[in-house]
Amino acid sequence: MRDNAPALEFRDVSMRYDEGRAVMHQVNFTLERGTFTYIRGRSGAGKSTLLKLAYHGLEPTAGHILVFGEDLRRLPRARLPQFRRNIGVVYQDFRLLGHLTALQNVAMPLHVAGVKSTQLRADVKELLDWVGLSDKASQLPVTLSGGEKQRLAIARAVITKPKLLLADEPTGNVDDKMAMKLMYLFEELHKMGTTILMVTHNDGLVERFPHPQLMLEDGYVHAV
Amino acid sequence: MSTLFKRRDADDIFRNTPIFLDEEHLLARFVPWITGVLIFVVLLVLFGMMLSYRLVTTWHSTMEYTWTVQIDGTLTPDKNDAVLKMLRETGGITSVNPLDKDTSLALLKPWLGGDLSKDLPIPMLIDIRLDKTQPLDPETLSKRLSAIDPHVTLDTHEQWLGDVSALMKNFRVLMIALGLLLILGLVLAITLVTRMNFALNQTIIATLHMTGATDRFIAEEFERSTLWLTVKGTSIGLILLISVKVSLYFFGRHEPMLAGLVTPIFPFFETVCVIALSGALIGLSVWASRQTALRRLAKIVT
Ligand SMILES: Nc1ncnc2c1ncn2[C@@H]1O[C@H](COP(=O)(O)OP(=O)(O)OP(=O)(O)O)[C@@H](O)[C@H]1O
Ligand SMILES: [Mg+2]
Repeated sequence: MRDNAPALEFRDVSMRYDEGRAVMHQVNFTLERGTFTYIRGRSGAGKSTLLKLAYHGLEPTAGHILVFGEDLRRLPRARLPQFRRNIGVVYQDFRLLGHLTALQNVAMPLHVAGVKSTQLRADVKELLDWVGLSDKASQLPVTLSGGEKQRLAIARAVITKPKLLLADEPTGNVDDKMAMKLMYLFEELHKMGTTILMVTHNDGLVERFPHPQLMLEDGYVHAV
Repeated sequence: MSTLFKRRDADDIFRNTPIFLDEEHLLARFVPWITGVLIFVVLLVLFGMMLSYRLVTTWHSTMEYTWTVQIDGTLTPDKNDAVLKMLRETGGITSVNPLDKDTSLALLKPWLGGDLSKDLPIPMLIDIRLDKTQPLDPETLSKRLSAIDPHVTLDTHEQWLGDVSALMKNFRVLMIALGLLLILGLVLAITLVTRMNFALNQTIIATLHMTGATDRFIAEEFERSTLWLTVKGTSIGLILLISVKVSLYFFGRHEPMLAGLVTPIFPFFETVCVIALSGALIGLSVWASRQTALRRLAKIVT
């Protein structure tokens, strides 16, 4: 991780899934540190794919992806865990662990990093409070509504205070009031220096919280 | 391994929560029993080997100081008396005990079948006990006996004990081979279960990876589940073994040939060996599951 390298860089990145047409054609863009950027585009445009490439959940067909100056192609497997601890991801499909409680789900990123859970209990409680789930701490994800699951996924993504937050439609399943509340949380993280890349379809939010936008269209990316 | 037994205090968020699911497939419910039976048989093999050692040493020590003189049934009574007289006068022999016809018959019965005709020439057997401090040369005694009559022979049981020893040695080699085979089976069973659990928990593993879990952390979860599984299995194995030993004790304590072998029920050395073997089997299983998990994890590229 280089000190003043951009948070995220795509250099001539092309992506094609094993079967099917290309999703990205030689995409280039740079996200400087501390920026807040939206990704927009139609359904199926490749927004989730772009995030997946950024957290190294996928290898691009061609090109290079650099996260804080680190070329993901050259990142040895042994250093992946450390790399991922600097990145928070809110998945479009949440990916909560169904047999663990809300509290345990949120605590997991710190638990796997070896933080004693007696120490992190206060942090987890506070964060659950923030997303309005403190009264659901001991419930399993199946017993939560779509919006509640989403808030849980957000809490898990930010508990490690990541340097880069990748959020895939984090306000897609909540009402406007909750969406606003979550946006304030993101704005606060942004003010603390977190680089944020957020997929959204919500024009109202973009208007209310204006930030640069990247548009994904026909496999190409352009700034709006 | 270091954090395998980590202390989990009451306030621990993850206390008593396995991160992986292993209750869902049918195999998981049978595995403690399969490993239990495997471990039981391995322990039984060990027990059998220790028993064979004790059997040989017990027989050795009881037969080392007793010889048997055999007199052909057709000998005249005064030659019989001459043999007895000679034995009684020989130094180094503490007691001379001719077995009467009925005792000899009873001893021969298992070899010759049930209905022994009374007029069959039954050899007369004389049990002689030797003084340990005054060793007697079997060759000399044998010669002196055949001088009275060539039909009088001396049996020092050497031959028989030699045969038994050789038999027991083969038995032990067989047992070791069987034991190793069973241990291999145990390792294979553990590997199979770990692989199945790995496949079953693929999504959870992916999510853990994405949240920054190391392979070691994930492998440890598998180790923990294997530890629990084999501890259950070993308990089953030990309970089965103890039942076998207790029933052998009740069955054999009144049999003169077996009494020395079944008492005490839990000889110190044997107990230590069984406990050590149980520990080793648990350790081996945990190691096998760790290796399996790590090998699988290494195949995941991202
Ligand atoms: N694992 C995959 N294998 C094959 N094709 C895939 C895979 N994942 C996505 N695709 C295809 O890649 C394209 C982009 O998918 P992606 O999920 O990135 O779209 P998106 O912009 O996130 O859409 P949405 O707004 O609906 O979430 C789609 O055409 C999709 O069918
Ligand atoms: Mg998507």
